Amino acid sequence: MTTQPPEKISNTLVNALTRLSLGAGMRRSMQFSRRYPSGAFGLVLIVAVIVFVSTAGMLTPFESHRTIAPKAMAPFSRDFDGAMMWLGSDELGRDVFTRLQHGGRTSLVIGLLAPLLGTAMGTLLGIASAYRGGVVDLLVQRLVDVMISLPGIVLSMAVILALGFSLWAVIVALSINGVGGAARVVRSHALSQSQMEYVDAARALGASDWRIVLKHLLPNSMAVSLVLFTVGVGAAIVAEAGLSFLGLGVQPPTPSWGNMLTFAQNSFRFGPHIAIIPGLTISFVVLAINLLGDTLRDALDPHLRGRD
Amino acid sequence: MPLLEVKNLKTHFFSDDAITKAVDGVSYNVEAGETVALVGESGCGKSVSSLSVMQLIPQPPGKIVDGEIIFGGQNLLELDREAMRRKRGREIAMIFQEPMTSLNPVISIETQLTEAMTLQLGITPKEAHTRAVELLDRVGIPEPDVRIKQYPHVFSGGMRQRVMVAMALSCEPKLIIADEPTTALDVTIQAQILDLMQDLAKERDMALLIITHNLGVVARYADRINIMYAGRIIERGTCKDIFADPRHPYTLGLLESIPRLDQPKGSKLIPIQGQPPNLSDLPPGCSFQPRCRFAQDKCSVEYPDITDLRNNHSSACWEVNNFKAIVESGVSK
Repeated sequence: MTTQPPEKISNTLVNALTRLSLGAGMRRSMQFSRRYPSGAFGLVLIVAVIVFVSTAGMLTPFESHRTIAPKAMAPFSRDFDGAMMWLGSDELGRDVFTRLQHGGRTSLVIGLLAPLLGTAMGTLLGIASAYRGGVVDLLVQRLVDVMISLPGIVLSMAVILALGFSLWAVIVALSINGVGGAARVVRSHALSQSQMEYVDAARALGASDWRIVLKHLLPNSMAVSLVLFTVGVGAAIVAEAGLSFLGLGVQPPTPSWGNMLTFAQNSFRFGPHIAIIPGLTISFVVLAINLLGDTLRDALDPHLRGRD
Repeated sequence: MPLLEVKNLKTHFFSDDAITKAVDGVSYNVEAGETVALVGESGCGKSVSSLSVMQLIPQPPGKIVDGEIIFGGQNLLELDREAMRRKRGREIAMIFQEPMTSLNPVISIETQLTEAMTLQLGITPKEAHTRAVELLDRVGIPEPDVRIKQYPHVFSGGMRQRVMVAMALSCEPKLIIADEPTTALDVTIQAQILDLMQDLAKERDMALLIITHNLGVVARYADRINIMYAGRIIERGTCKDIFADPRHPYTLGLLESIPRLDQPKGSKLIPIQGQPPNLSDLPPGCSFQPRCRFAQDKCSVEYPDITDLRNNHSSACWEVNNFKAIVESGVSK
């Protein structure tokens, strides 16, 4: 009996799975993961994180803000009642696993919505600025100058103080950080695109300004915006931690990955897991979003589509 | 009444320190169903004059300062933006020079081809799809029902120009303006595209306005020719008039500078001396006068009016009536 080379075995495995799967959707997702393995990995990781945070309160008997054990207990130690704490307790003796699940809800909502909002606003502003040119361009770009020159944290603080303390205020505040940069990058891209003959050709066929912006320039800027968004996710999760530290972000005892990380600093010497666990989690989510974002950008580019 | 009548069109570009008179008093007309050529070297204002008809001049810095553009009895310059937008594609369509950039790279051929039809004709996407496939088939794209789903980057330059022709045809306009439609293509493809355009124009009774610097293209396809120099038309006539009996020294110079099969072997081409003038700083009098080998004192004082000879053959030269005699006597600077 001859042994098969490993890639052949894996191919046979994939083929068998492909044949076994009944729906066309399943087949397509198999194709997707064969063509873009890193993107598929990112997607699986994100789904796992979403399942993790949505099962908060179901997997553990603890409450996220109640002290149930001595402070800074190592992972796999037990609480006062003898229940297992998989990830140990934090600096106030609360269960880290439970807090990670609850905190993830806040962090993911902020981490996804803030850059989404920011990049979307920046993209539209950038395209409008490039396409209209003249006075509009001048005014928008000077506004962008102001946004970029102010430190992001100061801008966010001002917005939160103006809007009041709420989750939405934090999201809006953090989204504004991304607007300036996105507007600038997208503008330069759209500027080169709007000089292309296809814009004139569309106009010569009777397309209106709105149509040219939405149907021609916006799809052409998606690749740039997508990258800006994926970079923004990590920044937003970490920036929320900064705001929490200043007392302007998510207010304790409500957990977020950012404020877990922030408040772990005093106990880092005797309980390093309290900082390492949320830190690693943030890194994984950012990695997953980046992998998926890169893949999406490639998958959306017609030049690369249909190529193995 | 002509389909398109351009009267004394002046399109100028304004910058801080100069006014560039890209088009400075151009008049021409296009009858329904005929092919008219606008010929001239780079920078003579031929593209600007056609973009002015579509009102696609970037404003600012460009501005149409004077003139009338009468299309189907209506002065296009008096229409508001929205009314003008509805004319584009629907009644006047345009084919551009650079097929590699005139299709949007991230949108499928189908979307780009059906866009104008659903927009301007108000037909359903399904009808538009059927028509788009027919159009692609008509312009010579093999397997149109498969290729229509593809993206521009898999098409070659010639194929893309065919798609552009299909797009221009899609709303059955009365006039197609083709701005150097074959300049970016291989010589073998050029003839195919021009033949195709002419066949389609004849078949659908559309007028064709070809903007080119290639007199070879003109000789084969145009019914009437307008020669432009430095923002003005200096000679116009039928194809035969221009080639057999040129009445302007610039036209003569152009004809002398292209190789011909009926000339003795080894005879040299005669280039036109000098450079075309700067359009923001034109010479006094006739703008061709500094390069003209027949120039006289009068030429640097006053610009000659365009004068009719016969049958719409006209020329803007002081010596239009005894031009032949002057050429033969060989007077030169």
